[in-house]
Amino acid sequence: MAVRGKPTFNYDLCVACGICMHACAFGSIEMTHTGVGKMKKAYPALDRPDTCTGCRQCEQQCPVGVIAVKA
Amino acid sequence: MKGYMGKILHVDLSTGEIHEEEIADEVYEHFLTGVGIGTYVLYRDVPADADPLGPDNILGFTSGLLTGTASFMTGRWMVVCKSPLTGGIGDANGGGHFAPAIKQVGYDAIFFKGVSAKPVYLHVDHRGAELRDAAHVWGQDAVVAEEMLTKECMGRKKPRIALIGQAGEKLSLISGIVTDAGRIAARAGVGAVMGSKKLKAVVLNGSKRVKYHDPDGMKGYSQTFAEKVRTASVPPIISDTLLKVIGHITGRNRYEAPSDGSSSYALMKRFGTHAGTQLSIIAGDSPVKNWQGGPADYPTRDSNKINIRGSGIDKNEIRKYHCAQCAIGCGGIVNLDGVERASGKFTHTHKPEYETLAALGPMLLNTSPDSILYLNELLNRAGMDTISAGGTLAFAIECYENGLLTREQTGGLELTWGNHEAIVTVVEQMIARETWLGDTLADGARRASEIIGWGSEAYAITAGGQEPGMHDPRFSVGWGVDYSANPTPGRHTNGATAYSTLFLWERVSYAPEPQRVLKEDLTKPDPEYALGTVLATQYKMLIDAVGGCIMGAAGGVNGWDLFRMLELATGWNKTADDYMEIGNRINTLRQLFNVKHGIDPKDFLMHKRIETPRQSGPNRGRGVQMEPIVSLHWEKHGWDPNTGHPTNETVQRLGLDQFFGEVVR
Repeated sequence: MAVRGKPTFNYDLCVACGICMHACAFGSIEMTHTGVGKMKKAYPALDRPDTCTGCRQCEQQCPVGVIAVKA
Repeated sequence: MKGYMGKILHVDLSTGEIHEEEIADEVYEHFLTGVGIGTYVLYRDVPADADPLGPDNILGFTSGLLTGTASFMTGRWMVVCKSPLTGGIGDANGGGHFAPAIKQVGYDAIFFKGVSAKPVYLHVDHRGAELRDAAHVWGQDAVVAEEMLTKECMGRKKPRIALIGQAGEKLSLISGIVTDAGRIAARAGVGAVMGSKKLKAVVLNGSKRVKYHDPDGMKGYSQTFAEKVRTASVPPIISDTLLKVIGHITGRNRYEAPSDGSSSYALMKRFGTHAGTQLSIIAGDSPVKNWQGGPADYPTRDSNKINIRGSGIDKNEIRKYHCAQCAIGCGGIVNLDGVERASGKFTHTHKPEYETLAALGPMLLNTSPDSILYLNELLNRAGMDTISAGGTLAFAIECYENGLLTREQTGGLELTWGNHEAIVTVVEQMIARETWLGDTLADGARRASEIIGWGSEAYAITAGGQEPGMHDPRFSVGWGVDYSANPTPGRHTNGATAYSTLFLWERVSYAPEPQRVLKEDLTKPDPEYALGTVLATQYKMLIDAVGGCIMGAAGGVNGWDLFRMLELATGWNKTADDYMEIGNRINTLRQLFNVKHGIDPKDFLMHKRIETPRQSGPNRGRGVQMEPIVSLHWEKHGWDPNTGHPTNETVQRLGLDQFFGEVVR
């Protein structure tokens, strides 16, 4: 059985729009990642990895292509 | 595959019946979703004699056509109803994360009619929709109730919730509907309508996907927009000092001229709307002392206390946040550790917006930033509109200063200009509705003036009963057009004043390129300016129909291309002119709603105080008589210049008679 991947985020290009969070049907992603740059912004993170099914919806719906689902 | 879900949900709170309605493609093509489908259903289903707080009124929660796609700046939700504050159509919109949730449960909109016998909330997930008992959350503020319902309704993912606080429950006519722990769709008394229906909350937890025409094309366009925002940055030199200088220059500028608003992306990204507060006060844009003062009455030493540094907002910002589908992120959470009043009650608040700072600062000559931060959280939790609260407080203070309110009536409070202790106490009383004063003021300035009498209507500065946004028409006359001519009067986000930044003349065949014009000349009717205010108003209808944000639109159609995004979502192959006609149709139907419900559009003209020219300051010599200017706006809209009623020719050209048969006009 193939190992399903988990999303990783490129925070250099992410605009923190939250589309991936809404795309996730399993509540796995939340805007909880801070400490990027000086702007004190909250970015997406795989907050509940146990619920992630690797369905790739976050990757497919991200407008700026900053999510990669990797095993 | 066009970005909409194809159906809406109806909930009858009197009978408990819930049913779906499929919507024909033709309706979407003519009205889009958001405010468009909301107005369509309201016009069709709300009887002319409906009591706004009775069972026949309908309250609709709508998402935008672009919400749920890969587009940016399109994640706002709209609430629509017959307004108990103005008697006409009421709508308000909010950011946060509620808009996508409406589509994720499978609907473009959810409409409520009837009145429940007991407090309830609607819960919708993949299993369906049901009404649940809300007795345990009734009486709680919106933040506490949201926390309780989130725990109670947690599914695979966190539910998204819109709800009322105490102000809506107590039918305050200046109450709104809250999401995301204190964000509020505040205007038109929409919270009172929800409260009248005994509907505490709408709890949504779905994961349906939005299908649309060209996802790859949309992503490509969004990457272009994201790059514009990413590279927009505020130079380190931007500071309170420089913003003050810009305020003085803006105030001395006697001309209105086209301007590229895309620099606002950088300012919003770095600071949010609060950064412009002192600039606006100095320039003469912000109303001061209940619209009778000017910058000299709230001088720089005062506005220093609510600017970026003085307010402490920037320093105490814990984190910035974005609403759904937003690439800019003007929101933020501010720590309240140093705010004595909040101690033991609140630990943080949403970053106060410009409108809140202006309404609770210079309008009241209040120089206490702590009181504003505290009131911001208090009002957000109660679900009371900060703009109307500020306008109503200013009215009350002017009444007290002129002897129309006695010390006995204020319960011993010295309700004088700038007395922030008294101001805070009165707001607490307005939320609780427990004292005569609080109960009287909780329904806004116009209703309060009807109770107080003695000519106090002279101090109740409203447009059609709603306290206007915090921008003075004597600074830019377009604000007066927004406040006076829009079917939802008094709104600060209606758009008429924004024409010179939208660059519609580069897309719309009949849109005139604005010229550099003396502001004094615009205090008289000007045909070209009037057409601009009409086009900007109609374009704002498109923004509200797609779930758009005016922060995106601020960059003009070359910065944020609404027409292109609509094409990528729908594949309709329409021109910009075609879409502008949809905006015209929506706004005309809103006006027809008002006509059907017995509103005389002239009753929505802003209070005559703005006719008085300022004697000094940046707006000196400028008074604005709205009636002739609004009359010309109506004419350019295809409405009768004398009555404001849409003409037969306009109704037929827009095809409204095809949808509704005999329309009332």
